[in-house]
Amino acid sequence: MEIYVHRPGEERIELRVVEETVTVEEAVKLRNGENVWLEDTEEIVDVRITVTEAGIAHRGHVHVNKCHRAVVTVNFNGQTKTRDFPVATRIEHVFRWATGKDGFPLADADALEHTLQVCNTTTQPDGDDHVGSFVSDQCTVCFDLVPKHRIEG
Amino acid sequence: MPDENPDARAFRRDVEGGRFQTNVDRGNWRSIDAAWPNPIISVTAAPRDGAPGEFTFRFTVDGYPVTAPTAAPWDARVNALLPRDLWPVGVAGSRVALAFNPDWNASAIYIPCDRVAIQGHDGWRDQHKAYLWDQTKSIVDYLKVIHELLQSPGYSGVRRAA
Repeated sequence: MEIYVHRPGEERIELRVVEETVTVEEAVKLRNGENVWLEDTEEIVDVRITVTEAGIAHRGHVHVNKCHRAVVTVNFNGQTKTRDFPVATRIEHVFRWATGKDGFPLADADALEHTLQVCNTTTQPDGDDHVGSFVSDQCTVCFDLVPKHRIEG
Repeated sequence: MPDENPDARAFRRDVEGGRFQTNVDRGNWRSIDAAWPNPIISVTAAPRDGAPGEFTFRFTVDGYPVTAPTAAPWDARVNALLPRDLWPVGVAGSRVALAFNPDWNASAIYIPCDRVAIQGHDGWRDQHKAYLWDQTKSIVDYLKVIHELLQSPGYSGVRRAA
């Protein structure tokens, strides 16, 4: 079987071939201090059990991180909003918060013309990325809410 | 694959990698032909009357990842450039209309990460940094731009509805 392993770092999402009978620890090549979560969940997975016992399906997504939660800051039009999320949260959920009633409420049409960009970089995360893939060592991440560009000229 | 061209190997690694494959799983795109250096990939489009559910692109990726790709809308049935009237079309003035412009070039897409489009547009290097190609980018970043355009409200179908 194959599993997607999300981790902070350049690769962000690794597709790994694993045996169903290996432990979660072996499947993700767990490093010291890291924990594992299923995508969009908050409960830490017991890494001593097998991939199958943990409920990880073929091409299922797991998140591996030393941080448990990410303190997310989003900047838009000179204002800032902050909230923390479990590290295994998909970016599309962070975007929905950022453009929803508790963030910077944008009409649906306006939200579709904006995207998140990691502060001081040109990296725009995919919706399927996990917020924990972008955290600093202090378990924080900063995004700017930016317009999608019109390419003219 | 010991005799594989290093550029081809880098491309194959990215296509087999997590970012590309998770988008395949989500139905965002699919690989049609892996032939080097002209792979063919289809990208899913939002439903529109008279328009297909996906558009196919023939990429040129020699020099990958140092050299930016270019992509031509493609008719995979006859293995030829897609006729202009079957190109994706956008609402007037939309980002889609700007990107898919066969009157500008019938075999490339007007976006900063395209090696043909970036020529003569030095201003884009400041204005559109997030969309520029560099060797840290992958084919996924190019495909993301196309997919987002074809899923956006500004995408309205094909130039000549079937």
